[in-house]
Amino acid sequence: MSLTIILFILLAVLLIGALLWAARPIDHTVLSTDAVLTALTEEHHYCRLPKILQALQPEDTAFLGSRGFTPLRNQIRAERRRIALLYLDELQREYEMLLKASRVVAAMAPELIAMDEAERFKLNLRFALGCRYLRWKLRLGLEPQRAFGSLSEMSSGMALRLEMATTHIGEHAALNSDYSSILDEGDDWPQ
Amino acid sequence: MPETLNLRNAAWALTTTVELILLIYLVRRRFFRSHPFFSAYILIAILQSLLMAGTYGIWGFHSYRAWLIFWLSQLVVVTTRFTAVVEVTRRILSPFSGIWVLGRRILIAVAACVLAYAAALSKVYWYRLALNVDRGVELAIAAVIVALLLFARYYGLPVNPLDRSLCIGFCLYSCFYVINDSFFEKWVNAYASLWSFLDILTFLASLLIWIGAARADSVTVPARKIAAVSKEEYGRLSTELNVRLRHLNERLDRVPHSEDQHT
Repeated sequence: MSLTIILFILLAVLLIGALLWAARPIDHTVLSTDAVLTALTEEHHYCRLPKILQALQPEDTAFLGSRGFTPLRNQIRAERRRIALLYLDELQREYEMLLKASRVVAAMAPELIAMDEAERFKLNLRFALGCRYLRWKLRLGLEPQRAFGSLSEMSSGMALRLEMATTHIGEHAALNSDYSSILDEGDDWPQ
Repeated sequence: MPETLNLRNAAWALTTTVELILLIYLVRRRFFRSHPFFSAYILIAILQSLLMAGTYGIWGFHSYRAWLIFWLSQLVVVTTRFTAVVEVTRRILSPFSGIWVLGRRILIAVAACVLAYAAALSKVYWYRLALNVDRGVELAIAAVIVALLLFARYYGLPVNPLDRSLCIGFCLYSCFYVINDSFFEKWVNAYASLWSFLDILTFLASLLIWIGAARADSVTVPARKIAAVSKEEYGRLSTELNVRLRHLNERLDRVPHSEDQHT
């Protein structure tokens, strides 16, 4: 059998696999407007980044080693790494919530979409990979300061895009006197 | 060989009957209003079956005329199938205008890439041209549907059961068609009758999926809304989001400075 035929068959089989995955019913626990607001008003974890970074600095606990408390120093470092991992979980949860909120905003923007969705998708992938990379670094006891900074920047970027989107929607709402007609379009959605 | 032919003819007759049942469902439940292109596709598929039955009866299965008529009618069928897929795509994405604009571009790009991929891989023999074009289009249809469902999943868009079943039926049929065509290309002579039989079977499977969905679904079922908010609520959301995000950004601005102080 030639390579061409194998490639065609392989692509078709891959598409069937992707179809089976993508056609599963979507979990319709869509965020309500209150849930979006609550998510955005929650305490934000990335503001604790400086403290976490400081706690991970080897110099912060080096004096314990020089004074003969090496086991204690190692224990403290392990504890701090564990806390950093928990912090990372929360950071990821927060980012995902922000992402969900931005999707809700995108779905509600009936005539314009301010966010660069492709870039957001790329950022999302980068964030997910960054988190995984950082987790491994922490588990292996390597210094993760630079990577933490990068993830924080991503959260910041996402927040800025959300602000842009909501600003445009707000402007649109103010300009459109019959705004309810747009929101009521839901009644005409396909049956 | 005669057994295969008899089996193929029986499957063909069964498929046409199932197509008629589906068409009756589409008309009785008034789905032809919400899915005009899909209904037209089923009607055209029935007409193609009748046309080919007459053609094979007059000129035989292996004649050049039968070959020509089959591929010309197939062109019409595939075009209608493609418009039916576009119809489903529009139904799922177009209520969200912003997402629709982006989704449309992505799906067109996906279709173009897959067609280019199929063209690059296909061998340039005139007698295989129809087969290669057909395979490329089927592959593009399958890729567009998968991309559409992934897109809808990413944004959490509501997809009603009938549209989901249409997507599954179209995509499965297209994928099996590509596999079937690829085998046919390799064993063109030995495989002709079996190719036709398998094609009918896969289409029959898709028809049964669609009938199941058409029976279960009803035009009176209200659509699931996503984030449909009142004017007041929406205004409150917009203002609140801006206030909170501004606050959030102010806090973020302070992060690098705090970091500098600590490190």
